[in-house]
Amino acid sequence: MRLLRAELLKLWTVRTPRVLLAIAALVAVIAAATQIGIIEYRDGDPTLSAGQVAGLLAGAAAAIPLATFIGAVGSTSGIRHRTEYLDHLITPTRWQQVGARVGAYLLGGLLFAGVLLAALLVVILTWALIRVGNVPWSSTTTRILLGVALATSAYTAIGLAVGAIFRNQILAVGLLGGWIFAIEAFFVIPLALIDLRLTSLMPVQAIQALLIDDALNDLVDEPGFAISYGVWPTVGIIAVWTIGLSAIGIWRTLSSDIE
Amino acid sequence: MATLSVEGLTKRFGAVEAVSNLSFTAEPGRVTAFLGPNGSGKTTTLRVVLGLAEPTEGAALIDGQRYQDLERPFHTVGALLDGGFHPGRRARDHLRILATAVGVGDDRIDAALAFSEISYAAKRRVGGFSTGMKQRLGLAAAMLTDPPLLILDEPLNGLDPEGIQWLRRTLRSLADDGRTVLLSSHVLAETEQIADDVVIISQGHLRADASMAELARQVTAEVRVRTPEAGRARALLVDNGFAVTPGDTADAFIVDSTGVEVGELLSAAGIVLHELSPGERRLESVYFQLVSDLPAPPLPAAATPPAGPNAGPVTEPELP
Ligand SMILES: Nc1ncnc2c1ncn2[C@@H]1O[C@H](COP(=O)(O)OP(=O)(O)OP(=O)(O)O)[C@@H](O)[C@H]1O
Ligand SMILES: [Mg+2]
Repeated sequence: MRLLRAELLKLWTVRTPRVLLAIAALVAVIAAATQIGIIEYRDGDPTLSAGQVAGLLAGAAAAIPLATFIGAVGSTSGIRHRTEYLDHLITPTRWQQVGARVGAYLLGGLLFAGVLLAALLVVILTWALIRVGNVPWSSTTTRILLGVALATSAYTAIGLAVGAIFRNQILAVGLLGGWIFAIEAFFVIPLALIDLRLTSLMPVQAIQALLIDDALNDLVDEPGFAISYGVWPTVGIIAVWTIGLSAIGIWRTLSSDIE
Repeated sequence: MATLSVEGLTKRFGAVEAVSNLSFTAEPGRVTAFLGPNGSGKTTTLRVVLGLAEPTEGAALIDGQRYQDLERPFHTVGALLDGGFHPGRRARDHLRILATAVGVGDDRIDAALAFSEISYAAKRRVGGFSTGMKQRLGLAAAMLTDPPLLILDEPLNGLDPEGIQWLRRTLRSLADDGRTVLLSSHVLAETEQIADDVVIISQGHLRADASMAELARQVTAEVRVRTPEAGRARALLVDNGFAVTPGDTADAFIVDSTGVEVGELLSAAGIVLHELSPGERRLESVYFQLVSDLPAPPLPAAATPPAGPNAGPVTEPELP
């Protein structure tokens, strides 16, 4: 517990996570505001369905990948600034350190999502109550809230793992950024040509699938339309990426010298 | 009270043998200087002591236990190594993280900051710290739990003369309270005034393990002799096993011994002395001879007395 708290304190006492959180909240709010703008533009006197509320919240999907940078920066900064030895002096048993760190980043991801969603909800609810008068809510909306929280947590851990695997901060951050903003697209496009659902096997696309699928299905009235294999299989895909990369990251950490 | 004992420690990195069969102890109530030139294996030894690297052979034990087997390692050993700070973090937060992880209260953070006289910078980011300020913050971290054993890798680096004075006083008083203090350095002169014991290594090998007093005795054992009968006097001294080196003038030479011994021997032979004065050799030159692999040029090997600084590692019987 102490180690977990110390790891969270480490995250909170440097600027990068806070800056990323601010950017992520901004991205999510802008994504939601754009959708609000479209709704406003389309209907002069806007109405709101439960599916639209879910869709607005799913705007957070755009911000979730940013959480991976927190993990990547966090796990490489100990190596870069040679602070790892202090962790080791406190807890010479290495798997305890590693366990505490993974736990802290999963929890940190949840807190990150909490702030992100709070910012989104403030914007959405304020607008909906003023302009529409009510906020229709469905089980899909609740599921999307949970989905955002879990996906953010998972992606923070993925970032942590990528940092632990590559150990160099610039390399890890560069690779993640490259993957999220460019490389994955090279895989997604051919997969989409075969079957749209296959794209949800890719880590970033899986988030989109998890969060947008339901919302889209509520909106798009086309039989047989699906961008994923369903909620639980998509959760499974994210879990496989997270656990798989974490396992490699933990192995790398346990087998490298202490800086 | 905690005793550190390094026992037959060898550490290899591939083909490089960084530390070779090294043994020494650091005792409670004493400041032990751990000296050696760049790359001699000081940091490697300290890292093994702290459980940060595995020994290839031998062991480093704290009160008979490896660091990683200590029940409360961070409460037992305070350590200062290179690095250890995130530049974006504030000094107090750095200590707060450590305090949280080991479960000590905020009062210890304040005490450690005050101890290191760095309280004024507690709210500042470490990235803006000078080298000396970082050393002080590192020391504050080492003192966070008020441990009985301190292991400090080059704590004097980056400190200004005032800071060095401060650290000397501080380490002295910590040892006087019964703590064990081990500090590494490149420069013997830096530790001359604080250390009770000296461990000198070079290329991973032990070169000296003695008290500072013992080492200092070797230094004073050098006299300059000036006599009109220089040739006869030198021959007599060499015959009696003294190490003799030429002086700056034809009638002068240097003897590795005390004024008493030389004076008595020469006067018994009826040799007139014009001068018998303490030599200029400083502690530092003893150190340089110990760490250099070549025999020191001014000392002819044949004339080197057995106790001379080149006769092998200087050792002293176990301390009480
Ligand atoms: N992780 C490592 N891998 C390979 N070689 C190493 C490693 N760490 C140290 N060495 C080697 O071991 C030797 C001793 O290095 P060490 O850092 O212990 O010396 P030092 O006495 O602390 O030197 P300095 O005074 O410069 O700090 C050097 O030859 C160094 O290159
Ligand atoms: Mg060193």
